Amino acid sequence: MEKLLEIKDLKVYFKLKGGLLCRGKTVYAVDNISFDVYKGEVLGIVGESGCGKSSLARSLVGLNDITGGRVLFLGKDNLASANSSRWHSLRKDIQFIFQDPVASLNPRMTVMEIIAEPLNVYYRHMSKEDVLTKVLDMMHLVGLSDNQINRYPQEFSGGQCQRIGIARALILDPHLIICDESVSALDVSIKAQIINLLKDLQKKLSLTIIFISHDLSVVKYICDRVLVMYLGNIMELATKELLYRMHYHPYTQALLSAVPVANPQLERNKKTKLLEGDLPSPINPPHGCVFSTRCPLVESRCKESRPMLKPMGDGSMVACFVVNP
Amino acid sequence: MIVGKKISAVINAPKAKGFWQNAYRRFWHNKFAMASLLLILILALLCVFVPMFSQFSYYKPDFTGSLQSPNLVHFFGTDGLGRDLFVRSFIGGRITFEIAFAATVVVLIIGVLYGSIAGFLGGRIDSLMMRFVDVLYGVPFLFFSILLLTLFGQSLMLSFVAIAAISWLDMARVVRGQTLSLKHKEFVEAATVCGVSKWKIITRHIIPNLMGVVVVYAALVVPNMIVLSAVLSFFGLGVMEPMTSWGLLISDGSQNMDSWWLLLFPAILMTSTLLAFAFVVNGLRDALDPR
Amino acid sequence: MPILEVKNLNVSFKTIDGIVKAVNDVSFTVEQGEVLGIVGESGSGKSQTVLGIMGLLASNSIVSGSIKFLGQELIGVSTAALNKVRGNKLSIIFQDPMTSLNPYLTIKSQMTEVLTLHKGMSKRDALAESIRLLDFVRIPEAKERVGLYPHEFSGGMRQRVMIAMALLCRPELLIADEPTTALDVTVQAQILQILRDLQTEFKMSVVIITHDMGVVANICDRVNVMYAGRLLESGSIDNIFFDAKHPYTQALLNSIPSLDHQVEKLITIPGEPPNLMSLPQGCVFQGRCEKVHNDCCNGDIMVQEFADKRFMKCNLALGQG
Repeated sequence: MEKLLEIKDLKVYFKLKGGLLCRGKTVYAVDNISFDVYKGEVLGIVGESGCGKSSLARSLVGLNDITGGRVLFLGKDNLASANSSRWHSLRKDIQFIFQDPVASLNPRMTVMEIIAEPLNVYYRHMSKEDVLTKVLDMMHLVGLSDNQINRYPQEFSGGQCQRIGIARALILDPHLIICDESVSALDVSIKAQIINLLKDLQKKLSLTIIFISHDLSVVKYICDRVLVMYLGNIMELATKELLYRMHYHPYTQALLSAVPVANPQLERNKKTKLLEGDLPSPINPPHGCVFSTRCPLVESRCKESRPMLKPMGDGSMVACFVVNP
Repeated sequence: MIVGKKISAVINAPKAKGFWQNAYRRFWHNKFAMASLLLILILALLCVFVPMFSQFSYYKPDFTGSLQSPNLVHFFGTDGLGRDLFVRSFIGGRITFEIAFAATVVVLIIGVLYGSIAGFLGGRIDSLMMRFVDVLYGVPFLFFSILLLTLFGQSLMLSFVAIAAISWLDMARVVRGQTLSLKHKEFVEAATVCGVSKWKIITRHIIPNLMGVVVVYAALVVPNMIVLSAVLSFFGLGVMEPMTSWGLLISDGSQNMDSWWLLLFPAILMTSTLLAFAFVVNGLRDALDPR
Repeated sequence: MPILEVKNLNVSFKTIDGIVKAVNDVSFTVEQGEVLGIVGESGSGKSQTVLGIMGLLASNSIVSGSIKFLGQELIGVSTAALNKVRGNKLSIIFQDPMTSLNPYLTIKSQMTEVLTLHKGMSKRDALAESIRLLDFVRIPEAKERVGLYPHEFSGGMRQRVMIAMALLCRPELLIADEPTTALDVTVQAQILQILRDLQTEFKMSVVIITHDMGVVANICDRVNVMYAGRLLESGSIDNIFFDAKHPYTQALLNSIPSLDHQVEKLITIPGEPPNLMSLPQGCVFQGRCEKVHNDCCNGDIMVQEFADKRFMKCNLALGQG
C-alpha cells in the first residue's frame, strides 16, 4: 500500500510564557511520534483530552508549528520544514474538518461564499459558472439542496453546518482529510447521519481520512486502523478488529472498559477497570513510560525508560514493557 | 444551457435573512431607540433645510431688532446683532453634525484598519503598533489642537483633523481586542487551512465580524465628536464668526445670561441630540449583540 | 408515595421571535431510592424540565402544571419557600462544576459555610463532615486538599467536589444535569461509580439528564425519552433497551454506533428535529417517523399505558406496523 504520510519522531511542543522570575515552561503536547498513513485508509486517533491528538492533527495542516521530526507527504514534501509558500500549495491537498460546525463557518458569509472560498483562492481564473456548478455538485454530494445556497450559517442546524464544512473541505479534491472531533458536538441522531455521510464519501471518493475522536464507538464504526494516544505518546496501533478484540495495552483496556455500552445487561455484568488518579500534566510528564503513574501492571523498569512501539506478531504495535506477544 | 438553468435556480433561491436584517428587526422593536433615531433624523433634516429656506440669513446683522425674545417671527429670538437664532441654531447644528460625522468616518477607517491589522498579525508588529498608540495617547488633546490651530490658522478642516487624529486611538484599541478574540475562532482557522491569504482573512473574515462592535462604537463616537467640537468652539478655536456651531452659540449665550434664550435653545438642541445618540447606542448594542 | 411527582408540566419562553415551547405536557414520578434517566437530544426539553423542578428557569419563562416534591407543591410558591427546599432536600449538579463553585473561596469555606448556616453545626463538626464527604467521593488526601481553591483541582476532581457539596445537607433527591458530558471516559467511569455508591449508601433518589444511552444503561433504573419538549416513552431500562415501543426510541437506539456489535451501516433518523416555535399539529415526531399515518398529524396523541408504570405517547397500536 502506498504511504500518503510518513511521520517520523514528530514533536509538537508549546512554549509557555514565563513570568519575571520563572522561566517559560514547555508543554510536551506530542512527543516523538512515528506512524504512517496509507492511501485510502481511515486512521482513527483516540485518546482523552490532553493526550495531544488535536495538537497532532493541527500540526499536520500548519495550525500548530512542528517542533521537530519529519512528516513526509507523498514521500517527498517535508511538512516540518515547509515555508509559507510551500504550505500554500500543500493545503490544497490536506483539508481539515473542525469540531464545532457552527463556529467553523463565518456567520457573515452565505453557503455559496463559504464553499466557493477555496476555489477562489486556488483557481482564481475559474469562471463564475464553473464555480457555481462545482459548488452545487458538492452541495448535492453532502446532502444539501440547491435552494439553501444563499442562506447564512446561523439558519442551519449543527448537522447541516457540518455538511457545509465537509463540502468546503472536499471542494479542492484533497488527498487527505483530517477530522478533528468532527461529530462530537452533534446530537445522536444527527451524528449518525454525518458519520454515514463521511463513510459514504470516503468510499465514493477513495479519500484518506485521519479521524480524531474521543468516542471509541464512533472510531470503531468508521476507521480501518486505530492509534491510541496518551500524554503525547502512542500506546497502541492496530487494525480496528485487533484493537477491539485484543487490546493489549493496559491503557487501551482501561479505556475500552470505561465506555458505557447502550445495553443494560452488559453494563450490569461488566467489570470496569477503573483508572486511579488523573492525567499527569504534559508540562512535566512522568519519566519513563508516561502511563506508569496510573498503570495497574507497572514495574520498576517502566519508571526508568520509555518503551518503544514493538510488534506483537499479529500486526498490532504496542508500547509496553510488560505486555508480550 | 444547463449551467444557465442552474444560475437562474440559484438566483431564485430564497435569499436568507442576513445578520443585518435580523439586527434591523430587533432595533425596530426597540421603541426608545427608534424614537431617538427619528429625532436625530428630524434634527439633521432641519439643519439642512431651515437655513436654506428661511427668510433670514445667519450672518447679516440687523441692528434694528437685536436681542428680541422668542416670538412668532423669530422662534428662538435674535442675538446681539439682531440675527435670527432659529437659523443660526440650525446652521450651527449643520456644522456640528458635519464635523462629527466626518471625524467619525475618519476614525472608523483608521481605527478599524489599524486595530485589525495589529490584532491579526500579533507578536512584535502588534506590540510596536500599540506602543505607538500609547505614545499618541500621551499627547494632550487641547494643547495639540491649539498648537495646530495657531500654527496653521483657524479653519474647519483643521479642527476636524485635530479631533479625528486623537479619537481613532480608542477605536483602534477596541478593534484590536475584538480581533484578538476572533483570530482564534474556528472559521478563521478554517480560512487559513483553505489557503486564504492574511490580507483576505482580515478583509473577508475579521472585519465583517467586527462590524457589530464597530457600529456600536461609532455611534458612541459621534456624540463624543459633537462634544469635542463644542469644546473647541467654546475656547474660540475652530469655527469662526459669522459661521457658528452649537458650541460657539452656547459659549456666546453663556456670556449673556440676561437674554436666556441665547443659551437655552442651542443647549436644548445639543443635549437632546446627545441623549438621542445615547439611546441609539443602547438600541444598537441590543440589536447587534443579542444574548 | 413518590418523592417527586411532575404533572402536565409546560414550560415556554417568550422571545422576540415568538414563543418557544420547550416543555409540553410532561408527567412522570420519581420513587424513593430510584435512579431515573432523562434522555433526549439538544432541544428536547430535558434540561428545562429539571430547571423547572429547581425553579431555576430564565425570567422570560412561562410555567404551568404541577410539581410535587415530598407532597409539597413547588410551582407558584415564593422564592423563600423554594429556597428552603432547594439545597436542603433537593440538590442539583451541573455539567460545568464552576457554575456552582465560587472561584475565590476555598473548598473548605464553601462547604463548612453551608453546614454551619443550614444545619447549625459547629465549625469543627462541619469541617469533619466536609472531609468525610470528600473522602466518600474519593478525593485523595481529602484532609489536605480541603483547603485548596477550585481551580487547583482537575476537571474530574471538581465534579467530585461538586457532588460532595450537593450531598452536604443529605438531600432526598439529587438532580444531575449532564454530569459527565464534559469529562473523559475514564473519568466518567469514576463519576458514575460514585453516583452508584451514593445510591446504595444513602438510598438517595437521583435524576440524571444525559444524551448518552450508554450512561443510562450503566446507572439508571428507569428512563424517560424526551423529544421536542415531549415525553415520548417511559419505562424500566430493560424494557426500553430491549423492547422499545415508540418509533423514536427504536430509531434512536439503532442510530448509536456501539462497541458491543459491529454494523455495516448505521440506521439514521432522516431530517432534523422540529422548530420549537412552530411545532406541528399532533405528534412531534411525525416528520421523521417511518410509521407515520394520518392520525399522527392532527388531534391529541394517545397515551398508552402498560404494566410497571410504563407508557408511551404514540397513536400506533401495538402489533401494527
